[in-house]
Amino acid sequence: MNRRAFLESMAGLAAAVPGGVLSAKGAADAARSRVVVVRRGEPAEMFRRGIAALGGITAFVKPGQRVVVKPNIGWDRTPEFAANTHPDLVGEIVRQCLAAGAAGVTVFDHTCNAWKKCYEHSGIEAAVKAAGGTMAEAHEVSAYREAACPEAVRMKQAKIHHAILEADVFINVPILKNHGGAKMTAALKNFMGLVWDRQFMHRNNLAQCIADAPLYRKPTLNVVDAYRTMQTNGPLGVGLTDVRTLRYQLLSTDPVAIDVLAAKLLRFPVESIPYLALAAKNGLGILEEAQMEVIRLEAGAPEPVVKG
Amino acid sequence: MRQAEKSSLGAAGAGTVSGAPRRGRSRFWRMARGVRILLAAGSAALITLAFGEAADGLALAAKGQFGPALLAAAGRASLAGAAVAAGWLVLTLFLGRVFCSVGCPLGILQDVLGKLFFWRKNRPQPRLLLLRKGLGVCCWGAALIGGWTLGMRFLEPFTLFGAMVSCGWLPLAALAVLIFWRRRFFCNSLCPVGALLACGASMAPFGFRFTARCIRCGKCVQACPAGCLDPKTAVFDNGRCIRCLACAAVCPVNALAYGRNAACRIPGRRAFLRAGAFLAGGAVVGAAARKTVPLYAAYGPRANVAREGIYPPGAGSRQRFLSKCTDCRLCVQHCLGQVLRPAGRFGAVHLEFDRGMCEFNCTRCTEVCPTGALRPLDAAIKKRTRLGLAAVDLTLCVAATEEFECGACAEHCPTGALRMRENAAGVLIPVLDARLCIGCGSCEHPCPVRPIKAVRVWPVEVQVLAADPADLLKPQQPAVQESEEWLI
Repeated sequence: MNRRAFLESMAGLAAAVPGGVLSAKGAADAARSRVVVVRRGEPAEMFRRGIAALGGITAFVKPGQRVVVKPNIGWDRTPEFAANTHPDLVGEIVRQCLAAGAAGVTVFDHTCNAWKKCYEHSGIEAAVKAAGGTMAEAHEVSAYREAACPEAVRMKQAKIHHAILEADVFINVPILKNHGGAKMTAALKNFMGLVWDRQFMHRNNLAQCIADAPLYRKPTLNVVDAYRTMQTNGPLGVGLTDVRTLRYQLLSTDPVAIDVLAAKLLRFPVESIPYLALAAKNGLGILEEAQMEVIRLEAGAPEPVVKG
Repeated sequence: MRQAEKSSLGAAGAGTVSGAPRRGRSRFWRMARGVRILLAAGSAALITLAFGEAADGLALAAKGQFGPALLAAAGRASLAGAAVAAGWLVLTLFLGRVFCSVGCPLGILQDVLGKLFFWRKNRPQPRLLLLRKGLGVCCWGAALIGGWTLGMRFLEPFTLFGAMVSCGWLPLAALAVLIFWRRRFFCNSLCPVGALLACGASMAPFGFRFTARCIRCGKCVQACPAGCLDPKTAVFDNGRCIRCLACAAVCPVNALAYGRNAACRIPGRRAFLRAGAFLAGGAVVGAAARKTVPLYAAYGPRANVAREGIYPPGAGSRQRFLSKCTDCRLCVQHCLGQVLRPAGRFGAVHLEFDRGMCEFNCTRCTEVCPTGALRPLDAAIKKRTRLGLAAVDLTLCVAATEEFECGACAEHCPTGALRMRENAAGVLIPVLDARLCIGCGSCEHPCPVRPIKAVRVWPVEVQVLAADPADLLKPQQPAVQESEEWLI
């Protein structure tokens, strides 16, 4: 670790505690986007540490609210292939939401492979059920409602999953991967799983449509799972050689800022991912790292070390 | 039921006038008939559920069907198939054609449909020996020796039942018409399984016969759906009897006895020669079909339709699969990716990618196939079995023509055959490494270009193994590793 990185991480650690206090008070700094980066822990453990730095789950979920958690469950792959969000992370989020008094937690994805196998083999269905949440079906058009979005540039009309339109709280939980078409998939790209007609997006300038999709429903919180990352041959991957375990997790309310840092994590140049700038132009978040407040946390480190 | 009982007792009372000892309806045969109805209902329910998604294991019930088992035994030397077929044949020698009354879903369906025409009385049916045995033996000759299951496709009862389960209204309507005319006529004149089992049952050492107690009241004739008995002449044709047990249960004087079959004899030279001729005829037809149909496909009027069928994993080759698949549609009903379609103009069950893609991890069709047309494939082999070959048309592709990021095809490709690469102008376009392509349609299905997709899968004549991605794909960039330093 060089000196610069060390100083940066110390600054992040120092900012962690007051940061938590601030968001607990609900006085979020509007100009700067706060991104919490946690590392070196198991997915559930990193989430517990990260969400505490954002004021705890109660800052986002109020008693009686309906919550939708939207992981990436696109592929019929088991967790070690890192094609889908880690089931332990999804399970922990569902558990915390229910503990915070949520009226119900719904989890779904518009899968690419056969949906039953995706739900089953990803381990997410089992994790969600064990945590007390419910899996919603998203493989038929009847689960989607026509919605309009005049401020969108390209996708001004779309069929969006009803659970998202009806939810009070929407937690976006993608996994960070390389992506053949869109270069990278993380928080913004995960919105494709809310939309029925993905082929429309592919046909009509994918980058612009990805930047338009979050306008239909802005996320309450984004959690990027970078525990295992697929760095090549994404988003499906060919084998375990595409996967590296990094043990990182990112949390932020800003889907653009969190994606910029996610790209940095995998050494993808931000300018090579056109939907990031387009999303910033759509007012979805902050692109410049200078305007972000990055809080770096070691999941394994005990509380006193953070203070010191 | 009670009314029927009373009236039959009345009839029995009238029967005593002839002076024969008064005997009522047999309790044993009524119970036996009840048991056979229960068994039939259970087996029909099982086979129907085998076509559904209720439980994966139920699909294996289809392997107990006589026709598919015999085809599997001949088609891919399946020991299990041979054992099942032999089991039913041995059972036939002792109990007659119980397969037709208890095991065959189409037979049981005919019994149920027959109830719709309750006002129609059964009557003796023509023996049609030449038609029923001749046609059946021809079909088996064509299938087992000639190697062409064409006859089975239109006549094999499990296959027909499959067609009806998957909403085939035409065969169902045709069957209903046949039943309206004569119940179970199909089983004794057209069905190749019925014909084969009839040969066994008519030569079997055991069977039904009329005893002297018969009062010739004719109730058994009205009850018999196969029309195989005639009390006037005291003839009971055990070959055509499907063992529904209606006659014995309805007989007011218990005049039918099960025991030594008087008609049991080793068939003479004449019968052997005739059967041999039919078998040889069928074999010639089968062999001819096997040779000419692929030629027709290649050079016939449809030859310019370059897009022939793409066949499921385990089919082996087009020629092999066309000669083995009976189009029973069990795999169609079980296909996870909803790509399998009934034979139609492609001659056998085939893949279409409009609703989905052949799911990479799925081997369901090869597991359920009861006829051996699809050979069981190990999951690792299936993932490399080439069903077809994709081809990209860059003049249609939006990534190339409009320079949009798309990548839907490359995104879904499970083997890494299709990848987005920069062309000379720096635009990302899909590039195919044909060595890795398995033709699963994961590219064609999500391609957003209309009306003609920019990526399409084209058929291959023979299914070969594609290259192993582990051998060909190298990591394209230095992988980011976990380290002491913060990566962000």
